[in-house]
Amino acid sequence: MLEEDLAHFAVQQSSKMGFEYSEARVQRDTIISINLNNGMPDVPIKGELYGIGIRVIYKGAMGFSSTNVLTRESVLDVLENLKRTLEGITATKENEKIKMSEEDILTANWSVDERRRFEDINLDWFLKKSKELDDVAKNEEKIKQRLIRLSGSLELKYFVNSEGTMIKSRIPRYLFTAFITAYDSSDIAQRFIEIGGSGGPEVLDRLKTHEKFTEEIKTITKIVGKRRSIKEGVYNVIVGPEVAGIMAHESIGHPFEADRVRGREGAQGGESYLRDIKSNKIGSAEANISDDPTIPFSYGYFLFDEEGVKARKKELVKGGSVKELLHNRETAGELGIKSNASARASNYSVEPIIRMSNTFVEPGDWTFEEIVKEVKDGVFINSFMEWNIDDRRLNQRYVGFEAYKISNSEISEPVKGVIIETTTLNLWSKLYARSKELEFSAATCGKGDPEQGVPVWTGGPYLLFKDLNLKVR
Amino acid sequence: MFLDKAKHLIENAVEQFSIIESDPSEYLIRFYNGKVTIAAVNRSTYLQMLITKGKKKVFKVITDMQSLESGVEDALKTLEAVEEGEVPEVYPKTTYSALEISDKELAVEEALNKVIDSMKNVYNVGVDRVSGIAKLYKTTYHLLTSTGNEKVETRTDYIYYVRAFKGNGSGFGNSVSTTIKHFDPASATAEAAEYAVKAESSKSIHEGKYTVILSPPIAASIFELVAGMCSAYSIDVGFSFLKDKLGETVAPKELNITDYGQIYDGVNSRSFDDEGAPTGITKLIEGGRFVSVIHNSTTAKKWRAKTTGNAGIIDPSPWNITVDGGDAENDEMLKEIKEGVFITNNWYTRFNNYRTGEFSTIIRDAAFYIKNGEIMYPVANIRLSDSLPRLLSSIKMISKNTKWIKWWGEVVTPVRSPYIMVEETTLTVP
Repeated sequence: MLEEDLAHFAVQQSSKMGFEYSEARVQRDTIISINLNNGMPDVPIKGELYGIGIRVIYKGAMGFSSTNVLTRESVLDVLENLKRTLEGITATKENEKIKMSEEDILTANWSVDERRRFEDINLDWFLKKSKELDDVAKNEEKIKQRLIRLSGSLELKYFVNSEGTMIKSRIPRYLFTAFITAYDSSDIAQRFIEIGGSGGPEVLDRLKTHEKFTEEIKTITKIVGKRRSIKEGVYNVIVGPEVAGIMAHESIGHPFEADRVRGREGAQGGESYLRDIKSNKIGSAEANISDDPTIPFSYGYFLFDEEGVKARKKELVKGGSVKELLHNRETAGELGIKSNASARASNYSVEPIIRMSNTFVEPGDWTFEEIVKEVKDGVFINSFMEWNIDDRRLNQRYVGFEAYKISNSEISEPVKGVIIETTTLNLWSKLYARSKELEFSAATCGKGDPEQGVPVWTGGPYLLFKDLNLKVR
Repeated sequence: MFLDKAKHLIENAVEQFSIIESDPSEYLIRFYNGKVTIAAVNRSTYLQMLITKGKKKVFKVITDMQSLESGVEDALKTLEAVEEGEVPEVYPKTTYSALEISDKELAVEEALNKVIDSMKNVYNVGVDRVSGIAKLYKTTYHLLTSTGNEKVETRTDYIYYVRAFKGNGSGFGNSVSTTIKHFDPASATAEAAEYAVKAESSKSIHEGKYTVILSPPIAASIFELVAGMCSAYSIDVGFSFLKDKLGETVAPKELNITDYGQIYDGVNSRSFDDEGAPTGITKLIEGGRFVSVIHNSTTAKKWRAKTTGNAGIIDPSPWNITVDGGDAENDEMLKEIKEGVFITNNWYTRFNNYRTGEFSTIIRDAAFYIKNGEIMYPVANIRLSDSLPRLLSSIKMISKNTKWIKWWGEVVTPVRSPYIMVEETTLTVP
């Protein structure tokens, strides 16, 4: 149950108080999480965040207020406080006048399909399921530490704005994470694994969680102690979907957030190389990267964003060139265009900001075997552990976890600590081929202050980069 | 109080409880290019509850106070359903002494005026744009435990960080305090602007090993990692390079890292932890030796130790980390360096392996190439790629002056850090 009336009350009061625009979001997030630490359960955690977030525009300045005391008195109190604060700002500074883009007035009530409802799943289920998954790894001699976490959440929202849009939604999500440490006499290997999506608990089976985790455990035990360094130098490099996904997310998704391009995140996540580059060309014709929140059962799934705009797929880079940025109503309004529904908020107490959903490299028309055949001698990096990128999103690094030499077009022995460290334009200009597969990994993307972690998928096919410089840790 | 109602609902149904009610009031202003992008006022009341019965335990966070009864009922139902195992121990009857380190009231108007005033002259020094945030908090914490402990305390926290930009250069400034008196956005903004101007027109350097001076923001981020890895839970689950190193020398004898439950300007101060244990002062690295592990009651039992008052029900964590100043002036450090880099800030630290401590971090904001004891020119596009044990053992000088750091990017737990000089540090370029 949500206090829908209170959302309407907040918007009505905002209009009476002279705010030019207002929106209210009543949101309840319920979370259940259990850890198994080498098979032993930590304290189970149940939590909820329930409250109302109200965003307004007053004399062209934006304000946000939230409370979890869901009474009319409390809403009036935070709105009055907010108005006083905004009066202070608009009186002393000549402020930028924010204008929201014109959007359709919509009414919708949507939910994610779930065979078993979140409310019907108890802690026993989480414990049983996490033990089943832990069993995959517990008898492996080389695996000395296992931290398994299984969590589920339910996000219920009611959104209303002063223009008349009303959207109600229900999104259940499940996430399996594992942090695995394997030892061999000469090697310690550590690996994070994340598998998650939206839907009922059956989404974990749909995502083949058990099979994927089993495969990961096999890989870890196979490569620990067997990984050898290679010479640094220029190689033809194949990367797996997990690596393709993080590349798309970090070097295309984030810098294509229009608020970053504008500079709004300058003190936090930073700005964007799109402020500085002279051409729209980002990479080779093979560089095709999209963001799509409407992929069914995805971890970053939504049909309407946190400003009540209908969601759609965005082609960010097409044929190597910039096609579209990620916009909310504020950045779209500034440019006189429509929002493409990229506003998200992680809970009731934070403002909606521009975010990715499911960001991926579009698949191509090669088979994986054809790609391997194309590489006579090279390196195949299927997964990663360490990664980072600078705040303009140019200088980036991905350190391989599961990686192999390719010799005479055959995947051969495992290699250790192989590093792609390059710039965005160099990376995507070396993209030569994409396979037909499209696979996704779950992640929690961070942005903003207060920090907002939101669920996303990152993904792609197998990619072949020609003549990429590799370093070694 | 919601807490009294919750206590009434659970006290006959459980054997142990530790309930904390907190009611943070937050004022926030974000700005870019000298213009406010958003102002926010947030009011919340949270209830967190650890309950145990026999060998069963549950931790629950409640924010829906209108449905407190059903929230508590759900927690009790869950408690019956969970599997038996080790249970945390709520701290026995004790007394707490809350240090008088906060303002009586949050000075919202004065703090925001200080921030706005700090912008007045910043463009005169030639920066292109300035971006930052001020966050002000007043929070009352109320503890109630099954062992008869009760404590109410109110804290005020003032946090500000700012970046100034000039061309492709940028600079960072930070002010953190528990009182309006010490809250100093003017110095932070001026420092950010000065660095931004100096960092314009940066050059590249060759990849290799350098002697580096790490300013408080980046040094704080390194020390925060080290202190976090002193947690018994982190050690047990593989998130620490300090496994099996208790009692060993891990750094030069000049290095002392201490965790303070309460300290002036420590904006994460509290007199009690989540299990009702009094917080205290825990020396983590003393004279370069790893001397203490951070515990809650569960990890303490496993390690046959005593809680250090750092619960975190699952993972014990530091409150406010201090690193003692050394005996070096900043200029002395510079003079010692034949070839090196002076680094003012970092961001995006990620580990290749927590057990070995191998990591890399992006050098962010101003950095300068040093030759024969002098700063030569700004440098950019650098990554520090090394390992924590090697970095710690290669600290050669520690500055006298220290500074509190806390900001969004890399320093979440407040750290009071000096400048440090570290030899043979690997810097890479793309």
